Amino acid sequence: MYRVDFINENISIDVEEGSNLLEVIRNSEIDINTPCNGSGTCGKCKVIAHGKLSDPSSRELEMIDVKKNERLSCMAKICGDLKLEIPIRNKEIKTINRGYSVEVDIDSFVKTVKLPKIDRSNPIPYADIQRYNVETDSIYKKISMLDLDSADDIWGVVFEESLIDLGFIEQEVFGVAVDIGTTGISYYLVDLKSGEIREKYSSLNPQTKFGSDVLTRITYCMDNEEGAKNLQKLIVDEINISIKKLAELSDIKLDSIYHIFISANTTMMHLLLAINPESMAKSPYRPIFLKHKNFKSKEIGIVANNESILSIIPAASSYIGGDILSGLAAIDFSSSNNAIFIDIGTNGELAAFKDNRIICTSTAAGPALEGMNIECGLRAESGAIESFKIDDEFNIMYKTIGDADAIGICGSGLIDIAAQLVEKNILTKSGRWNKNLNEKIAHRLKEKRFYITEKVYISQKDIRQIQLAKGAISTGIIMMSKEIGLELGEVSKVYIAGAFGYHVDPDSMKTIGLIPKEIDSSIEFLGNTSLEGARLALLNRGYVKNIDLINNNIEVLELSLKPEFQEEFIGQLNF
Amino acid sequence: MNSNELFENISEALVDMDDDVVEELCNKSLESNIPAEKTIAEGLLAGMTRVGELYEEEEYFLPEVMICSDTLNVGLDILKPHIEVQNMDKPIKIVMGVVEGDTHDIGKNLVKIMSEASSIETYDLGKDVPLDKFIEVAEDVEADFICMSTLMTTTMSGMEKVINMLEEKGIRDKYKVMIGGGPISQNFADSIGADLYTEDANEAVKKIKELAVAI
Repeated sequence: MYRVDFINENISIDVEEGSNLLEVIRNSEIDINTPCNGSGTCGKCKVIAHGKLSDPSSRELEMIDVKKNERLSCMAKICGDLKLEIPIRNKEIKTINRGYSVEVDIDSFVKTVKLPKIDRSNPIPYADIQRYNVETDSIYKKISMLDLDSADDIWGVVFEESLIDLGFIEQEVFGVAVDIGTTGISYYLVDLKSGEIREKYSSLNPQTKFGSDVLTRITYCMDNEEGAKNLQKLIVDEINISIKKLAELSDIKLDSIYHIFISANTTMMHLLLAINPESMAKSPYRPIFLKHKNFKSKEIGIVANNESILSIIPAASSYIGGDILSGLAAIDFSSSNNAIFIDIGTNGELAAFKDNRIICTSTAAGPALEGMNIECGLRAESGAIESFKIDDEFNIMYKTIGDADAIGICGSGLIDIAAQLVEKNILTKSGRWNKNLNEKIAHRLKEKRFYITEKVYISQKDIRQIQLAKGAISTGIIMMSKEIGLELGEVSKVYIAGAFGYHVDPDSMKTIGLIPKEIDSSIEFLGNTSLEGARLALLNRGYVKNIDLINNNIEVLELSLKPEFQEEFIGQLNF
Repeated sequence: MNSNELFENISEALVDMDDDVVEELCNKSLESNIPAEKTIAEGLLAGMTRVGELYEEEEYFLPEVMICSDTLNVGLDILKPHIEVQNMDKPIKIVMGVVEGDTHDIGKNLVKIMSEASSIETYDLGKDVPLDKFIEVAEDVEADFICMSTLMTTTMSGMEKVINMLEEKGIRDKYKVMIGGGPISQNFADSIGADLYTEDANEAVKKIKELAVAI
């Protein structure tokens, strides 16, 4: 046994010889960033270790600074006592928890109702006299308490036709709208009577320590028997902490939260219910379930009112999830003929609308546009370059999140940088560095890396990653439009959903060809339509029917099965 | 123009993706009675090797490699009917495909372009290939290498299964197993007992040739 001291956390633990360092850190419940889920390829799980560890491989040596005692925790095995410094992880990520959506009338699933008075001369049980269904014994207990009391007025809380609470005074009723993203989770606390958003909150999805994208999470479930259950616990705990926080912030009782509506991609939805998503990650990409069901929140361990209901938004396929459908329903596509909808994440999800048809596809953009797989890439956190410009004199200007010193580049920054480099002919159309650079800028290009600051740079390899990502999205747009008979020139509007798109300069997107150049319509940023969709679902039953309607009509296109995909994709790689 | 100059020019034209020049020079080589197989090897394939190097150096990217491969085919179409002497050396034979469950095959196609350009006899099984098919075809064609690719972390385990199946059949030593693709690393290759992993298509073909010599 050896001793591992976590210097910053003030924890010491004993571990077996030969234990994998990353496993040790995870077991200590310390947050560590592992986008590649410990396969030794991303270099993001770097720690500073004093003590005896297995020797680093040549590949690892390329990623670490031995002088600083750096190691990749996923590659190192423990061979002696260890003092460990884990870089403090910035939990705050910049995201948006607002979104554009249609207006709806309030016709929520949960309502308060005035119930008949207890007729104390009648031998028939009150539970059978009032007209709603009683499905749990806790309601009988509440009736018995009211029965013994003398007060007259009785108010109930109903979920559709079921009575889920009752008392002498009209209850406050709240709902929580949740968007579970692969990276971040966003919440609204919604007053179900007025429709008002009382509080907003967002937090990091704690599952990110098992990989940054859905595939690595699914791999984790394949490799660990309890994988889906472990990931469920992480997300449920996180949701519970956040709901409690929402209640505290707005000074309401947890007990007055009666409904939770979840919007998420299909994998996140499976994991929320601890269902192994393995079959979704292999051709033909078959999910275990798509349709929505209402559960008791407590069945999966979510803490709110004891009788509260948890609902989920249905999905169209493994890669077109409820997050997309709720977004589509939130923008009223009936008045958006010839429009295109784009949600950019690790997978780019795309939809097009023409003559009452809806087509949808998803495309493996990879995590590059979220700042991953990029040498100086960062999530949208403090110190990340988020916008960038080169003027005609080749002066460089950039802005970082939180105006902190630049430590890396996030997605919106990457797109700006690529666009500016192309525009100033520092990068050629094919994505190669221009060999004849103006001397004012030439000094920034060293060994195929373009230096923005002394430490932050973008490499040729990074540029290739951006090309692959933007090529995947534009190929998706082109093939989907073709499938539905929509000419790119007649596209009436491009809607961009998601936190990513919100921070990106639309001109930069067009410059790098993420949106095909033939499209010349305006671009509208919608923000977090998935969260917005969950809010509308809490407030309006018709909206949920509308999602079902869209789901019944939607055509899903699987790009990688199309023979022309490769040629189209290759053609879309150039800037 | 002597034949060496001609080969040099063909190679350069191929790297520059110039179909017309390649076509003209290949026809010229036939008029000058230069053996077609020599022009292929020292002109066209030498050019494609250079393309592979440029790809490895990150100078060329997928589109350039694909276009160069089209240019290569322009030349091959002209020269192949005129091959007189069959190469008597036993060619290296490889079976390749994207493993079961995965339908992403661009990376694999790139390896195919480079391997064919290196005169490696390549049996492409396509994408979403049932695992036992790799072995079945390798046995049928008496391949030297089984090459598997995947883009998805979720289908990586199929590669290990193929290696295990080879072992169960007692034929593991007959083949070198090579793997590649986005989520694959040397570390993973070591852990499943694969013989070869490379980061890109050009290196893959170089390593196949090195290892084949060693066999």
